Amino acid sequence: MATAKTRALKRPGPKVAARALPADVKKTLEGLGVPIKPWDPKRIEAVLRGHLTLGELAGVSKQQQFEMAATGVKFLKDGLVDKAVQVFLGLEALDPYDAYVQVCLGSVAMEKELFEVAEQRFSRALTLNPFSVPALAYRGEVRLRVGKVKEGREDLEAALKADPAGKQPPTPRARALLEAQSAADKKPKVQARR
Amino acid sequence: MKLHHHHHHHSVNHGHHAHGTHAPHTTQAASTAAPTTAPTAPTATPLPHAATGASATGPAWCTLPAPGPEQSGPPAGQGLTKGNEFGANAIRTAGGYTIVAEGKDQAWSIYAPGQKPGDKPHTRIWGDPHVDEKDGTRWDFTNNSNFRLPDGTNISVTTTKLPGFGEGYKVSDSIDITNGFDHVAVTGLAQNKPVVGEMKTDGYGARARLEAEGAFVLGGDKSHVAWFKTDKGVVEGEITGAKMEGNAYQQTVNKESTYAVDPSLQPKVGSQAWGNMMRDQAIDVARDVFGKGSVITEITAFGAAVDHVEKNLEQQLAPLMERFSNFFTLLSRSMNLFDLFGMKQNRHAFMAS
Repeated sequence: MATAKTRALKRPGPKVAARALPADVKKTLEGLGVPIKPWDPKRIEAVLRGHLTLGELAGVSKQQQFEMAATGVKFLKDGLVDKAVQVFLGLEALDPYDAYVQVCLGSVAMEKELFEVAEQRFSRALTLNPFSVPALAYRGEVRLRVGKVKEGREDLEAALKADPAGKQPPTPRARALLEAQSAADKKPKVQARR
Repeated sequence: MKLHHHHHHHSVNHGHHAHGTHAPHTTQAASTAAPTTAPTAPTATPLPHAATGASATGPAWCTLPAPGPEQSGPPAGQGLTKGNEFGANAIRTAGGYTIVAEGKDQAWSIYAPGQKPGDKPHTRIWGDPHVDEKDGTRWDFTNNSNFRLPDGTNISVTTTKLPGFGEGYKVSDSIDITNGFDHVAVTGLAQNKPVVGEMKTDGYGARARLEAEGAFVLGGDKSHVAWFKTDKGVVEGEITGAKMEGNAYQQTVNKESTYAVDPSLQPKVGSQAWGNMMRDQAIDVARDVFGKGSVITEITAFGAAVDHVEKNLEQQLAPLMERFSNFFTLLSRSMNLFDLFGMKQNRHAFMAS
């Protein structure tokens, strides 16, 4: 019997129905060697509600994800950018709440000069981890590059403040940028007069 | 050695397809783009600081730190805080819940975000132990249990039998609260002399090793309190009462009540607390599925010591990742996974904020 309380909880809740995979998708998955087994609908529901990540649904531990991320970074440093992006996209699918993956994707976007995208990625990383030094440092750099000097400076200063000892690799770069920016600010602006 | 010939910072802007030339129409091309936003032409203002040393140091990714939990989520000290307007025996969670050890009736209370001292607690656990919900529902439990809040906080209560109590009747003795890295224990509940311990940073590990017979998950909204009974992470139903069976209280559930929690009781999607919630629940699932102390659970718990065997990661992991990436792309496209149930939360999470 529905009480007032249970009625209040009645929402257009998820209707979980078994659904067959389209034939072409099934074939592709089989080709990839992905075992096709029905997932517990409740666990899929949990993913959709944000209670589980796909990584958990698929059984990929966080430690494994870190190892995969390290591989992605290695690809980047070896110049295999497209392979790296694929790794990071896979990781984002597995855990969309991981700030590091957002930073990695942002750094690729920055290098591709997709500055707006890069800024969004770094901002998202900072939403997930407000203490991310690389996200602050790189967003500051992007902002300087697109002429948002005030905001860029603020980000770089925040990065230095978050890592005063300069232990994290992006910090020296942020410091160098900030110093260069300060020097540029002091130069007389002769271009203003024509 | 660098094989990748990257664009120099001061190069002429080639527009929105810069580098998209490799695979302009693949998912990869859209890849680095935030999913909501088509890659737009960058507003490539020339650097006002052309002399910066930064451009000479190469791409930003050259300075990426190694991945790890401290890069993936907020650091210790952001999950739980001790002492606030509710008093010294109060603990505030990242999502705004307040847990207060009362020092009487072996009681500890949970206040929802926004509640103030003097309000009726959202849930009060007291006596042998009774659970009083704000909306009037009452139920009981006997043995060690977990109470999970919508922001991912876990409260693991240890119960103890007091002298003179009959079989099946115990009281709360201590609670272990975990959120993210943070972990704090409150002891002395049975004696009505609660002591809030030091804040530790072994939250993930502690959570993975929790030992409890049942898990109760909070749903509902600010007016309608709804605790749901779960078994191995699967919701059995909303708790409506309890009855003594054998030597322990068994909760009665309404299996027709679908688990739902009002968004106002959950951390904002994408917020710091939300990130903690996701990670906390990942560990809960690993423990529930694989068992306490299993290798998987230990690995999932961040910071767990794992023998890291340096193998050829590139060879081993790349095909695996490719598989996952393809798999989820296919799955989400063909099944329209994120729209299937009309749930938008995860989709929002994928979007740029």
